[in-house]
Amino acid sequence: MDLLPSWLERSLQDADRRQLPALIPLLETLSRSTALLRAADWNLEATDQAGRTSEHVG
Amino acid sequence: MSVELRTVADLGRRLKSKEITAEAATEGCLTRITERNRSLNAYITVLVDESLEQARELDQEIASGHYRGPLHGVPISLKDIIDLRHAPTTAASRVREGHIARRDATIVGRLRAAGAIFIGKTNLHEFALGTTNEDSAYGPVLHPFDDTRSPGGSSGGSAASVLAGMAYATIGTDTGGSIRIPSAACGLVGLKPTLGEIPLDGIVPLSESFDHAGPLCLSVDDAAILYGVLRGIPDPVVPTPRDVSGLRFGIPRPYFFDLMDPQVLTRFDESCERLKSAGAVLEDVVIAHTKEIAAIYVHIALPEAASYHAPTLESQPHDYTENVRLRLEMGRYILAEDYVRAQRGRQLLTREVREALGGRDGLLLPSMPVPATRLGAPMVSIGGSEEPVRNITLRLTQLFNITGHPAISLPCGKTDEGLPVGLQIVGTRNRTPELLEVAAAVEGVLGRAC
Repeated sequence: MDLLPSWLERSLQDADRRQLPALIPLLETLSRSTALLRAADWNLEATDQAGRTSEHVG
Repeated sequence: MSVELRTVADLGRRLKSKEITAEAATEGCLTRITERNRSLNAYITVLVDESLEQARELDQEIASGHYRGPLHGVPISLKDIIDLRHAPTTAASRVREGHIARRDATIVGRLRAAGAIFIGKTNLHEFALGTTNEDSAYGPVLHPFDDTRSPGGSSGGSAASVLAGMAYATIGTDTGGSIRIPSAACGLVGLKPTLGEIPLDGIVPLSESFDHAGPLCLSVDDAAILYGVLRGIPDPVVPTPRDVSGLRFGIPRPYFFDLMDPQVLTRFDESCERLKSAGAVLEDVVIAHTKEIAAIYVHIALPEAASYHAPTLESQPHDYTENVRLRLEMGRYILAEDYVRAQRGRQLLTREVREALGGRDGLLLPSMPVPATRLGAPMVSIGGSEEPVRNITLRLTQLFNITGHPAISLPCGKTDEGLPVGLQIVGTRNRTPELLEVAAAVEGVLGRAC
């Protein structure tokens, strides 16, 4: 399940609560950057084969 | 501008032979500051009495036969993010109003021991978080060649101080490109050493994973002299240029050359042809994970910066300039799990740059994809699209902050409008002296700033 949309929603609500409307477009841009980072092929997760750790980190 | 610029090495020789006094050199800089600083806004603090007193003492030392080395009596400026005792370190921010440094930063102590004279503290993009020097509590710095343009940033005031002859060299910092970007924009030599090589205590931090300190100056020899002193060598020697015909370079074209001003590309290609004519071998190389560079950078730099600024973002938010405040606030929303992902990506990129170097003498690419940008313009037209100035100016430099490889920017010509273009050479980690030898060889082919 992709939790990024809920992170963005909470962040935008928080920026609104803090009366920082100018932060909203920056957070939207950040979320796209975060999505790219999370999609990168070097990321590991708990179901991965243990040997995968040596493939990408040198 | 019609100031005759002289290098640190040249001034040092003339001081040693007593052709000129440190006091006269200092007075010359102070005169140019009087003439130009009001319009350029390069300096935040000018140390008139202090620098002249330093100069007189250092002249007495030379007269009595005590010569400290090539920086003895040379007036330099310091980016106002670096502590100089008894002077404010403003970081170009009202947040630090009233601050006075109690002691020199370690690198300032080394410069002082080497006999450097501190002319003043230069303007910067607030807290070094920007590439144009426009967001500053003290107002923007103007480019000495064109007052509608930025000198680059965040070490913009530093670069302008040297280009306008208001200092013989300067010390800046570089977290994503803040030495190399203004060096490229102003036609200077700017060195970012290997990560961790130069001590950073006494320097206001931005991102401890990426912060570096280094010189901006008029020649590779000057960069080597200043680098040596910053390393703690009071009497450093200039590098012996390598033989160009034996040099091998890699050019990482994919991603780095995708968005580039045509004139920047032309100057770079011309430089490459000159190097090949001199016998250098140039080969294309590929760095695989370039698509993630900007994301890795943001997810490390911003939370690190935000952690430092969190208390003052709460207690005095309105003392920040608006743009800098917003970027710092953005860093507070980045999750720890994404910071960790970015650090893993950083390890991978470090290996990929090492592999791209693969026994070569350096990587070659421009320092900035565009010439000096227009003041007041958050976007720039490039490659048929509009791109944020911040993203474009960082595009060719930030990778080497991520990986920590040493990198130097040299001037490699000008656009038709007379704006400088910078060539970047990236070296092997922990071999900055070798990078300087290679850069000296390249400078010998391309020519000096002055």
